[in-house]
Amino acid sequence: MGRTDTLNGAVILMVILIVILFLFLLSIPFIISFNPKLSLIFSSAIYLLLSVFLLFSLLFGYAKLPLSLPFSIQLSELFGLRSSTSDHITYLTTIPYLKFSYLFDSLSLFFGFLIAFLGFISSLYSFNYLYEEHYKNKSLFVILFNGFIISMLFVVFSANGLSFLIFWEIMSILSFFLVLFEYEKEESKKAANLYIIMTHIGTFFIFLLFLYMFMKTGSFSFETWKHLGISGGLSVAGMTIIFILTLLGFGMKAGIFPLHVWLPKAHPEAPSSVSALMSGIMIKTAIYMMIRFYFEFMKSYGWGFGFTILLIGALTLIYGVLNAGIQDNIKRLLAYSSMENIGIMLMALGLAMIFYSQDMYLLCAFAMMALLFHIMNHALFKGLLFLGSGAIASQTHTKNMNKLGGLVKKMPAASFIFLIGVLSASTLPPFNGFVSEWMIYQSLLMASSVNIEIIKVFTPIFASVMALAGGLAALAFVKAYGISFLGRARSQGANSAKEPPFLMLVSMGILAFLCFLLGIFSFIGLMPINKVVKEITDISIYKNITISYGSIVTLPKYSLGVVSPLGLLAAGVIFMAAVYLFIKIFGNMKIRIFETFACGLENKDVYNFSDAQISKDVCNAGTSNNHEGNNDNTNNDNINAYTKINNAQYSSTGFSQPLRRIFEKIYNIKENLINEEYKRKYFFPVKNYIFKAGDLFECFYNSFASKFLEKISKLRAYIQGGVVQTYIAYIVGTLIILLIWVSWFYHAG
Amino acid sequence: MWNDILNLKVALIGIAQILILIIIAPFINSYINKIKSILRGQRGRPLLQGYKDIFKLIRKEVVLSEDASYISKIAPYIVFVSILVSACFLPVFSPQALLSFTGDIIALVYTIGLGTFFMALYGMDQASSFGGLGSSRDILIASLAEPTLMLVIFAFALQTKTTNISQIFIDIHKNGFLNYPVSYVFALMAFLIISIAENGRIPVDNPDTHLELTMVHEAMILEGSGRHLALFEYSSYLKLIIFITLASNIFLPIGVYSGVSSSISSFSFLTILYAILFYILKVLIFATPIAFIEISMAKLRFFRVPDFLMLGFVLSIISLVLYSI
Amino acid sequence: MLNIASFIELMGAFVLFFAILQTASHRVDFSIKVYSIQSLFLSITIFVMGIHSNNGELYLSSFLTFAIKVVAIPFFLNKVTRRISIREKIIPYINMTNSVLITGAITIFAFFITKGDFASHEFIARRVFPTALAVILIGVFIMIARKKAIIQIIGFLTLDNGIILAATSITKGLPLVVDIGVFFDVFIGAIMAGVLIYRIRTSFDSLDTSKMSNLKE
Repeated sequence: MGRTDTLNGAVILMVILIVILFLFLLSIPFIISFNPKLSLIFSSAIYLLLSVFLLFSLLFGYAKLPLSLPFSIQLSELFGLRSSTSDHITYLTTIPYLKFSYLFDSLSLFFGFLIAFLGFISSLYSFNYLYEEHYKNKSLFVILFNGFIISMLFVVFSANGLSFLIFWEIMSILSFFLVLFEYEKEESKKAANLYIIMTHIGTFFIFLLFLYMFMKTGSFSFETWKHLGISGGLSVAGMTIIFILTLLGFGMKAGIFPLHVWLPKAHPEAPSSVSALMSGIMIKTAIYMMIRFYFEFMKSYGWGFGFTILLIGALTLIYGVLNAGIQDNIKRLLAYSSMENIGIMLMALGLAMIFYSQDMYLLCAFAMMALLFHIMNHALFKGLLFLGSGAIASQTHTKNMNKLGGLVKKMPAASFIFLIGVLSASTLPPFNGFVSEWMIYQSLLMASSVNIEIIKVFTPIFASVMALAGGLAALAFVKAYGISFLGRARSQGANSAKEPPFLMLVSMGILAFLCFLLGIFSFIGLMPINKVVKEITDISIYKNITISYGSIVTLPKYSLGVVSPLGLLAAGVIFMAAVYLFIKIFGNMKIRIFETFACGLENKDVYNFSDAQISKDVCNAGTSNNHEGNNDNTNNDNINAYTKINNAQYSSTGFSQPLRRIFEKIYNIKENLINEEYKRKYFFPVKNYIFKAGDLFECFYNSFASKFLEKISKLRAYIQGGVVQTYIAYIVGTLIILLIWVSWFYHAG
Repeated sequence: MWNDILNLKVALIGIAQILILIIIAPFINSYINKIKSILRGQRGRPLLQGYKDIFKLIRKEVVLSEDASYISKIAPYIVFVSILVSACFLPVFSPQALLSFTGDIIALVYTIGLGTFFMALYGMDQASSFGGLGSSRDILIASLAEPTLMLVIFAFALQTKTTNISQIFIDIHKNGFLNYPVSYVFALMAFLIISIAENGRIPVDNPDTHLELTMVHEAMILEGSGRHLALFEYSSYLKLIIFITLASNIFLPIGVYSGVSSSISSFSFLTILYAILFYILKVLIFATPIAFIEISMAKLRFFRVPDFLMLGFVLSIISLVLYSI
Repeated sequence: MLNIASFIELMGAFVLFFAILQTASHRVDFSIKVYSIQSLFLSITIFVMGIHSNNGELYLSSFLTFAIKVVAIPFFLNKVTRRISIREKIIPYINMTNSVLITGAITIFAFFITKGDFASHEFIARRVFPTALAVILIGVFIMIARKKAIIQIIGFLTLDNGIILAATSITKGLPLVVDIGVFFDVFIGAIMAGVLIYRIRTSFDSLDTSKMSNLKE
């Protein structure tokens, strides 16, 4: 580690990161005294600059460029930086083993770029969102929010086990606070508790994993861990231990099946801009570490690991999408859909590992490319959808789809943007989700060239599982869009919704535009990904798999198929014009507006009644339904009749009923039809339908945990008997044990 | 590749293929109805009734619900165009599909999926309770049928080592299907089951009924009228013909199909005509069993449909695994 | 392209398909129909095998299959069901979806254990034997998984079809005397079972065989 007068780009990056950190730390007093809005604008500008810088350094390799700057030595002295290799920086502390090292290779730069970019979008969004949701402590939100993003950046740039763990914990705890942000709500508290417990169990396994790696190499540095893989100093048992620990530790964060329980609870409770970050990128930091472990630290392993990941991915996929279909809470639906996408990513990761273990680097590179492209696409469209759900929730004050409806007329721009997100998440052409899913299908098909019978037989079946999940995801998103945006308003809240403010629309619009752009011109997204893949597999396949004009082909050697979203779009537009012209010339372009047929009944929109009195009554009915006031049941029947007209549309619960019934065994559903007997028993009885969709595994864990806790508390009651003498005996006993221990050490030493 | 596209003859053949599909689609529907009527002992509608219906509907005005949004106005076009675009990938009587460079068989399935998606949204746009019912059921059936469709496709994609439809068809025409007869039978039956499910034919859905509680597809487009209804009807005809074309080229690989491809230089009008006639004959062969099934079976209860689709799924898995073993 | 061994395998595959369809059937009359079509394909298979091996006895065997299994037994079973008016649905121990899944697993298993050089030189068409094995196992499965006595008979008949298919595929046909004996046996067995069903129906008022456990008291 000699001193040089040149600095490399990585140092500059590090300096920028640290400067941002200090700027935010310093700006806390200003934020509190001044304006959260100002701070958010400021931070979004910084994130934008940072993301552009990270993208450029990824594309053009700034991190490895030696730069000779005037104050280079002084600068590195100032921050205590030592650069060991070209893109690796170490910051030494006086505590043994605790080094803060940072790594700026392509993989971390790619993830850093995604974090910074999504940070930019959600800061922009929060600018208006905070005021739309009427949060009380906005300044606190800004501090936590920025801290969360910065901690994620440091997580992906960390190159030392201990410093990684520190930032990982900061990230977990800050996201815990953000989940708990609406702390008055009982739901939030429960979700946050579950989240913090589960994530710490995960951290425990990560800690064990790092300790194991330390035992094997004598260092916490990622650099040394890499040598472990290259030298092949790991036995099969050691590999298996590392594999299982990574799966448990990082899988907990990624929300793999069956460790996903926290994910659908915590994501919906956080403020929407934070949910977008959590779903869009935080769960993928776990995938990032898996890539590091499986492709850098563990080099040679059998195909069994890859197959296990593939299997878990398929299970996660199908479980997530089946649960997404039955949710009534729009944000919970999106959270389960994130779980589904994690499944897709794990399948791609598993395939890449299988190819890697069989030395088929070309195919490995392709699967890897599919994986990273899907990570990018999912960050874009899931970010968009969560931001959109935030727009809905802030305008209508509910996340329950059974109370939404008709928003397409109230917020046309937001509805159009949300439609793009929905199409992209359903992996339909010509949007970005389709391209990455297509690439994963091709990887699955190419797995038939692996010369192992189990893989040959099972990969097409996994592909069909993915097809089923694709169809069910379309079902979930048709429901999400159709119920909340189309039809008529199902509550007064939905009826009084307005278009969200400008910056919210802009931030969502950027994401929607990118979804469309990457769907049509996929090579733009694949360009930076190629750099990452090249660094991992030493193969650059960008030239092989993309031809210009947005057309993608698979590798020439295994030529399987071609897709060109641009061609699809062009053909679609041409046909659309042709069909339109044909009808215009030969047909009839008249439109008559009339009310919807309702089997001969009167069918008027309740909330658009011209009679002001009735609409006022309806409002009252909506509120009095809850506390059963019975003060004004003079014209309650009329009001009920009116509200029933709008509620005669298919509801969200009704929409998913066939799905619930077909797959009833894997759901934990509570359905109840309560007859309110004190009202009218025989003539027009009032009935209440109560529906609750829980997670099967949560129920399972709960019963397990309650039994376990019962045992523990019995033990505790036994030990802590309340008799003073026993306590004294404990103290004496502890003392004696300590004395023995010390003397043993003394003699041994 | 670009040379191929710019080749005028190839482009002409491609356009001819799409025109053939568009032209015979309503005829096949009328043909099935005619056979059904004859089997029932009725005289039946004339064979050109499909064209008349479509043309009449186009000339009628659209009655739109007051609750409808822009989705209702664009959805019929998107549904129709998505089916049409996926028809462009499909080699009909010669391997030169018009847009074979833009998509493969996976893209075909997903492009049809785009149409299904918008049709389901259309059903929910008019605040009618039937529309939501239809959407919910239709998209569930479509998504349950999708894995079977993919497995059947993959069985042939793995056999021919490509997902390019033209290439699959050429290989099957060249090598024949009988290398794996058991796989073939099971794939055929699985394909029959999903064709029935995807097109809403009788054991799954009844295309003729307008009883609210039994219908699936018709409930979604209950509010459709005029040109919108015409587009929906036409796209359902086209979807059926796409499935029949796939089946006829995969499962009955005889004819002048490959002959046209090899003699593209000796382009002759007569060969093409012969190929077209042969294609239509094959389509009629494959359309007839549908009529027989429809006449001999009752519509299944909706919650029996998953059993039916499960049968298809198991058949396709057997087909694929037996091929791999 | 269309050689005769492939055609035999194709027809054998149809026999297997109808055995799988049998497990998915919800109604008694449908089951009988499926059985008769399956037997039709079996007779075609045997006939083609006869052409292939130039064995006159197989033609007769094919004709007997057609006469007894396609025409006589379904006719008789239909008559029995009409007589005792079984209008109810098939009651399974294992529901339809799971039955179909298990059947699929059975089929794959049958093909898996017979793969490789499983005495392949003896066969007319190599894949007919695993097909026949799968049909036999599915027949047994139907007998296990269904409650109604009449469906158990159909399961037995399916099993018998599988045995005949296996026998013809291995030995190029049994001796004619044995063949005729087997056919006669099955025919008489079916008639006796039909009579037995009638007796069960009259004494238990149901065809549910799970109620027969009451007999032990």
